[in-house]
Amino acid sequence: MSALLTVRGVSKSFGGFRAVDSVDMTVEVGERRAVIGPNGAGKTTFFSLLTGLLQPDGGNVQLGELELIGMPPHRIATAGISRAFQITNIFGRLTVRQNVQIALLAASGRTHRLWGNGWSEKVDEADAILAEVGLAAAADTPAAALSHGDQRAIELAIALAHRPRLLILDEPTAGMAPAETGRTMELVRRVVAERKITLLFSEHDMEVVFGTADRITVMNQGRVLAEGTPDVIRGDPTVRQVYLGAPDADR
Amino acid sequence: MIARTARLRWVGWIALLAVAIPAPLVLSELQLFTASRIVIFGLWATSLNLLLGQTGLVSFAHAAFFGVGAYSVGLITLHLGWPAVIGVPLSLLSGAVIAFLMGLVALRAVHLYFSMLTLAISQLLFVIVFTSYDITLGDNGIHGIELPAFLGETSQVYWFVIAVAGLGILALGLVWHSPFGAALQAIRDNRLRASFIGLHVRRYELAAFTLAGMFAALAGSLFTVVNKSAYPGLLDWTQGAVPIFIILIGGMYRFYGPLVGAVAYVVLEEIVTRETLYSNLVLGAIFLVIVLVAPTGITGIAERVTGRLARRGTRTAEAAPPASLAETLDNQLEPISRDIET
Amino acid sequence: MGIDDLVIQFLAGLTRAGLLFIVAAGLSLVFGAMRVINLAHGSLFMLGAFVASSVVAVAGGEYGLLPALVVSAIAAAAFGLLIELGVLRRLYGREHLLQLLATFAIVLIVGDLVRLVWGEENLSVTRPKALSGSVDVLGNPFPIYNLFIIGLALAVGGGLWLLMNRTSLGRDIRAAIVDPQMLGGVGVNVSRLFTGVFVLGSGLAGMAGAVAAGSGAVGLGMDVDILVQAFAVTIIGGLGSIPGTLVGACIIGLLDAFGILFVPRLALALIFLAMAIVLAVRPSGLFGLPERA
Repeated sequence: MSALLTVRGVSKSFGGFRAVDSVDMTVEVGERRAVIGPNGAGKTTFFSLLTGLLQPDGGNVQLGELELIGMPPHRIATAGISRAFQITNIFGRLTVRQNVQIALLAASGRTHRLWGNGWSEKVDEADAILAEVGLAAAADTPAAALSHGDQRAIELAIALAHRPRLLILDEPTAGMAPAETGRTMELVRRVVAERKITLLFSEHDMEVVFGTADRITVMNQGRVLAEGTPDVIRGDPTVRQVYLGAPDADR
Repeated sequence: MIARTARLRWVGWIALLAVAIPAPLVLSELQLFTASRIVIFGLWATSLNLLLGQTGLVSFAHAAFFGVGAYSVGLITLHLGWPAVIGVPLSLLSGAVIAFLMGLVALRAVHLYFSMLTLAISQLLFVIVFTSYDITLGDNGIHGIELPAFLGETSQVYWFVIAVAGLGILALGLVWHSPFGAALQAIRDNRLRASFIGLHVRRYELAAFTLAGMFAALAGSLFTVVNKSAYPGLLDWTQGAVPIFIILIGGMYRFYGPLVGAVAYVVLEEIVTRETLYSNLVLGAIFLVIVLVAPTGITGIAERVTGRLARRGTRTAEAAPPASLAETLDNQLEPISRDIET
Repeated sequence: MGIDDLVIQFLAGLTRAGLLFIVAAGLSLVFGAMRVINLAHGSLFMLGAFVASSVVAVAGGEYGLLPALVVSAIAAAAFGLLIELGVLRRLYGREHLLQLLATFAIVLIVGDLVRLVWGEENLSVTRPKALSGSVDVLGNPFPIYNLFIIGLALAVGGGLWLLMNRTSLGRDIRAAIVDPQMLGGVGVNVSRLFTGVFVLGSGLAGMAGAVAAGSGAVGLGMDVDILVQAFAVTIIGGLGSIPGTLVGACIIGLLDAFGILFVPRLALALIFLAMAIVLAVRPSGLFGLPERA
């Protein structure tokens, strides 16, 4: 098993506040890694550092052999990392199909052309992805008109269009009812397995975490608190005290 | 369904040309003048909509580019003695250069700061034109520009305007429907996400800004050909709101929206200025009502109506056509996207 | 060009800065707390100036301008209330462009309304006796009225500081500036806050108009002239920041005064250049917060 994502000593401070503090992480190819931690632990900031939205103060990030530090988001996207956002971040006025089409167009480098019919390209490919995530029926609807759960599916579809090697999901089931949560994670697991994508995700729903992750990294106050398989994490006393709130922890 | 609307579109354009071309045979001089104005404003507003409706950039600088085009014609006749019509293709170049330079600076900011930068730089250009008496004749403006012999009649000027503006609108239409145009729409909807799917957003915005400036300048050059004059007032920022209102009236999410808006605006403006001294009061009130009540413009209203009619014709929910963009926007309670810019 | 002339120009610049500060503070607060760009702010300024001219015409030139300050502020504030309740309230949460356009439509409307009521001619306003005349500064005369403007600006600045830091309204405004999404969540009555801020900003604009009336001619076109400079001030200083507005006003005021002295034709250009430079280097202004939707 070779490492796909190697993170070494990555830090980020805002003013005096250390949001991410010397984080090390190695994610293997094909792994499903969950990052958990209380609010403010630095998970979202960490993901922003990985995808180029923020630049770290120190440390390095490698995708395979490629050094990612200093790359702007659009370069990192073409390098093989796709991210879906915590707050739904889709193209509202475009139809569902167009949302995926534009991601496909951008990925294939065809968007600089000033001639031709933009929306008539990549239709079949887009429809295929929509079918994969279960949105085929809504293809012609403006994305803003869809329900929250369906919009999350669009998020996933857009992320898949780039054929990423690493898929980063920031709280994919946030704000969902239990039934929707189950369906969404099943979709994620299926897609990730079929396309052989490495998955890195953050979550608050422990059922989701334990049901999907191969390994779990626990963050607290910007630092990595613990890391291991779900069983190891479940049994770790510090983790339980800080996060899972075990009843036998001393207060 | 897509093929049918495309066919309808072509029919619409051909019908428009069929009406527009023989117009001088039927219309009076004054009416031809109005028609030219409509076409020029239509081109002007369509070029702005490349930024506004398609890329989501609210630019107040479009009066400046219009003025650049106008003065392109004025200055070459005044200082170089060249025929005025040379200024028309020249305006594409001057518009492109000025827009590119302005975009380099203005696009460093986003959203409202960008808008205000465009306003500031546009006013800067206005002041420069206004005070450079030696070059531009300052406040007096350049008047009495002579046109070549083949543009001696009003109808000939009109046909010239239709031809040039038509080509400009065609070019803008190509851009609107191109893959580049599709990328601009994604940037409009979600700048952040657009960069995450691999688009170098600022570069696209700069390209769009330059193109928009080029064709706004083209419109300005045509204006000067028709009116035979160029004056600083054309660059004033309050003029910059005219194409924005045209787009608002017509609807910003359809390519032909600004053209519809140009017809409505010019007609409205001429009626209002004829009937009352306080045209700003009336026009301002009308604009206010439109902003509050019908922000998706005429094309938006049309879409809502046809959408409702289409839905009434179907029996089952499944067969109903999807909600149109205009209807979706009307039901939208929150802004379409929220940028997570840290 | 001696030191004495430079000092006079400096004071003239501060005077301009003072007036700009009073105008721009309202604009900045409205944007900072409500994320609304009020293009009609200049119109309220102009309204205040014209109202002041009428008050002085009625009350007589002796003291007329002082009550005019209050009347203009109230008139502008009332108009602002009308605008906020009737127009802006319907547009919150929608595209910023619509708010921009709505306020621009109001610029058109108010411009013509003023023309309707007061006519096309420029009007002049007599200064109160107590504030007329000049003071000797290094051998050159400097109008007492200008000192009044500077003093008033400082008073307004002090009042705003007290408001922002010592009152619950100020606390809410500061919260709104920092994080508008959180407001409803912490139990603030958001609509009342917005109305309050907008009325405050409008009142400041109106009062500044009355002050400006005493400084020079009152005429149509005042709305656009002041708006551009006020925007330059708030952009340079950073929208939503009172100290930033103060710094921005000083920069613009001094640029204006010295620009006219050294490069008269391009004085206006200098201001826009400053704006462009600041924004290109620090896109949210010197003291501003990064742009958040």
